[in-house]
Amino acid sequence: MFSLDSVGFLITDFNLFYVLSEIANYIYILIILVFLTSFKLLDKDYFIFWAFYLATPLLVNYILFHPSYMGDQEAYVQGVNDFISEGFLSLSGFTSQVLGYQLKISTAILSFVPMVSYLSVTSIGFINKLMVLILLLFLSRKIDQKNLMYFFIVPSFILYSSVGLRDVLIMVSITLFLFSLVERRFLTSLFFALIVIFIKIQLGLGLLISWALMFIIRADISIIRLQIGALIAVAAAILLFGSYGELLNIYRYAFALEDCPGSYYFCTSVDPEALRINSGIGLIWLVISSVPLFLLKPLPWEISGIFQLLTFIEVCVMYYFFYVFVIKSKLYISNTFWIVVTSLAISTALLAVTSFNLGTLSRYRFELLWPYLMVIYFLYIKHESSKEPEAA
Amino acid sequence: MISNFKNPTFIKGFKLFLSVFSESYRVIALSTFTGLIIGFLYSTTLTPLFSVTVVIAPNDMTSSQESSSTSDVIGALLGSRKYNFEGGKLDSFVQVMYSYPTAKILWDQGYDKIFFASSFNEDEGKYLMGEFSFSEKVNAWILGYDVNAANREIGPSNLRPIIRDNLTTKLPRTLDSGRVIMQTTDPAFAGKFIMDALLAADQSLKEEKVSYANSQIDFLNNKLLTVTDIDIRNVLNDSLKMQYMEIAFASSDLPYAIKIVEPPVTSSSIVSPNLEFIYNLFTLLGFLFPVGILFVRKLFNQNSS
Repeated sequence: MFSLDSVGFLITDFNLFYVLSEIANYIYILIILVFLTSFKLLDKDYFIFWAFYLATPLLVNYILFHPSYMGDQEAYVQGVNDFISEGFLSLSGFTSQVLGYQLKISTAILSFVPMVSYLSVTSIGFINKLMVLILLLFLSRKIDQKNLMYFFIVPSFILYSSVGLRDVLIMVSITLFLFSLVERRFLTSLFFALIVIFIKIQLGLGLLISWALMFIIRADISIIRLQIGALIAVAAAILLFGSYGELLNIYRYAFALEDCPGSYYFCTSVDPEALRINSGIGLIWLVISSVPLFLLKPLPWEISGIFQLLTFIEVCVMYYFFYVFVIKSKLYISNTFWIVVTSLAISTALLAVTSFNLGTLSRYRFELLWPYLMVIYFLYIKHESSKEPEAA
Repeated sequence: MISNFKNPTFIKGFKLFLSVFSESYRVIALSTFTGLIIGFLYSTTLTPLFSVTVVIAPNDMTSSQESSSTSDVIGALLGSRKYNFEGGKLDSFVQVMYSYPTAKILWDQGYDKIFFASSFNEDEGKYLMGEFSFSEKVNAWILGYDVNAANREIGPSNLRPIIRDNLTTKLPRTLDSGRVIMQTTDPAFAGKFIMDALLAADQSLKEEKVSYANSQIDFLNNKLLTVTDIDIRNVLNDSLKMQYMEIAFASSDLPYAIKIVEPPVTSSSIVSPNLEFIYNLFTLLGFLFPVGILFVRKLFNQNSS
């Protein structure tokens, strides 16, 4: 309703217009929540909790930290408004950019989410909250709402769903993909895999391979098929390195520059040749050596500051719950579980070899782990419920 | 999900919410109108602002030390204007415009008197910040430091945020030119201020260039004293000539890093405040507030009944 096109400016400071515009966004989302609760699509008992939960964007930017702390937010609010005013013309030339196109596609999708005001970074935060609400609605049909709440109150999830970035879009798309995959929905899963490919190729590739394993190789009916499929994937990664290696090296270089003290333009300490991966075997070796660090960073002796400590604790807690859901219920005997794990492994490998900056690494790792934890919990519930009649 | 729209709970809930409008339409209408009135009253307190715009472009006379291949790679990665070759020049220029040397030149041109006249302390003959605030005194007391140890003198560094806050730039991706814009109640002053800031930034770049070229000349002259090989001496002499040429360019009164494509132009009507936006926003809030409260109340009443 209120965008750069109709109003003529974006709100870049904490002022009266910012407060009014974001309060209008919040009341709008609150009314949607009231509707969903009243129509019994959400449980009334948790209305107050969700009403507070959806208000968190008001407390993050300008209150917890200045929007420049996550400077990318400005690019997203500009991108959303560009798409609203220019439509698909704003996407022109995106195919010539290796990374910039992801932002354009993401902001184009975000701009389709109806909102009262698109004028500030917090408006994008409310778009994210609305997507979270839609995800909640979807998941509440499959998982008990009380248990769902625990997933939604993970601190990083609250943070990323309150700021104007695309992380929630990625997490929602991956979650919907994974649920469609394990429920064997051919087209829906392909649709969400393609969305992730366009907005975050590092995570989309793993999804596409798991989709092929499920629907083309039919690895769910035999573990032998899964093993053959995985072997083919590894062999293809080694043999076809020449066709994608250059792109992978560009990604490594870009993310290394992001972590460089001089940033993109004034960096002098990053040597592209030192980062270059020259062969498929070199890639496999790099994956093996970098994945453990990627999964655990920041290591206890590297921690400086409360945020890094919380990140470390949070990721350890998530691994613990992975362990609980997988090992204790013997979920590992399910072929579907291994298809899901294959896509998790591929995405982890790609992120591990392209992540350098700790903040970016933590963000990307979380947006990868959260949907997988969610779907593994869903498989765990299904697995447990299937055991109950036998026990009876 | 679609089946939900047909089930009795959904229809009942929907009718219940429609009843909010039928039962409380007076409250909603009154609140919406009140929102509009508040918006109107608020708009009367705002100052109308014109915009003054100057169009600039990179000056082709200057040589660039950037490697175009590097910027091509980064431009391909990020697709952002600031990594585009021409755009990079204007972005660098804008950074200089917001820097201390530019603020110092403007300060010396008399902008200290314009922006800080009320802070001039005649006893001490310099610009000083006002009295310490209560919170500053309390902070000093808690942390145990001498509040008077802080530097209270106002200098060119205090002019920097004023330049940054008042002069906004628009450097579109698709054009080689950019716009420097100021919103103001006094277009004549704004036009002069933008031009002075641009020329000061240009001057600052020139001084930097001359200083660098002079140090290069010193270095090359020292090298010439030690080198005997005629070919190397020729190369060094060519480099020396280049540096003298750079100094000649930078020492002239001509624009150096940028050229003014379009002198200050004042907008034909006010650009701020946007009355339509203000009235729409206040009216909408006037509508949403009671509707939100009534819906929540209805939900809980429905719950208890």
